Amino acid sequence: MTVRFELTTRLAELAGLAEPSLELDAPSSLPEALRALIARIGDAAAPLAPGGSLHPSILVVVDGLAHPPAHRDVTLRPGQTVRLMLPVAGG
Amino acid sequence: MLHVAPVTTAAGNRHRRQMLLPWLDAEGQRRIREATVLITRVGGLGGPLAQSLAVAGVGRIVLFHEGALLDEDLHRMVLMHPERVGEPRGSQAAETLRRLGAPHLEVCGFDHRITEAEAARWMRESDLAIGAAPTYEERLLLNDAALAAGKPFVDAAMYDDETHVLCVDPGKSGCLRCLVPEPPPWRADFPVLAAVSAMVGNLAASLALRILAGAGAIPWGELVHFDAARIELTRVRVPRSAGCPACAAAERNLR
Repeated sequence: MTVRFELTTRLAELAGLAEPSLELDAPSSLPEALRALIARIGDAAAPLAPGGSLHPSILVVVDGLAHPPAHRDVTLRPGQTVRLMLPVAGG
Repeated sequence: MLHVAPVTTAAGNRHRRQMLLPWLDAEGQRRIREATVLITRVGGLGGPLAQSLAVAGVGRIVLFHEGALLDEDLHRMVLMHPERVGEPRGSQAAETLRRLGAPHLEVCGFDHRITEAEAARWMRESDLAIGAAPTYEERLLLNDAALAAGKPFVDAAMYDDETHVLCVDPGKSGCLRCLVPEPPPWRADFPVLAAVSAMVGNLAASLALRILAGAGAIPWGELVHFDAARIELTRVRVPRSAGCPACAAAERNLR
């Protein structure tokens, strides 16, 4: 299944991505789709995904609903976008 | 010709124009006047926020801001005094607010970072807490103190062109700790344009005033994310996390 990922600006910078969105051929399971994304990002993902799992502070959003780490066991439907956000800190 | 009846308050006509807003009647203005708001940090974001609360007629503002004023703060920290570089920031911000606010405004300014004990003590007297600090440790501390006291909490933050605001209804909506169970490990000297930090500060102030006045349409438990470069607004529902200790404390208060 083709999964579209969108990253907020700061997160895309940290991941070393030139573009904030990308489409991947990935499994429909959200955790597996995230693993496919981490593999695609490669070495730059190491600080974002220590031990191969996304850092818990990175927000995973599907259809406007946040999925914290304990609530990610969901199946994506075709056409859904997975949005990754890094909560900002500054002022 | 439209005739608008004059509306006055105990502070005279100062707030007449804002009381023409459909959601802000005399009772709402009275609630704002009687309210105490605790704010941590009054820099580029919290400064404009506190200023908007002061001129809107909030009765008491309690603020904490550690550190001495640097020249590099002056491009965004509108409550600070350029001639007082090197002096503590909290007390000079408090002075500015006293000058701007209505005669009834009381400001308590502290020149250090808020502690857990101080947050608990001031939350007992406050109607609302607002986190405008640059670190998650300080914002989570205030989130937890507000929820433990059963008081609403507004969190506002920015980095570069990204901004966010979260309004927390204690024990009912998701909170900052549900969203960010542990602080992000990435630290940086955050890039900041005053126009952007003031924008998100004033969005938070607008929501805070509506909460204090008892107006509806508060996006409780939604992360409102605005990217000022992409001109893109995203609203994210934040579910309550089953294991969130801050929400558990708030829920005990509701029983």
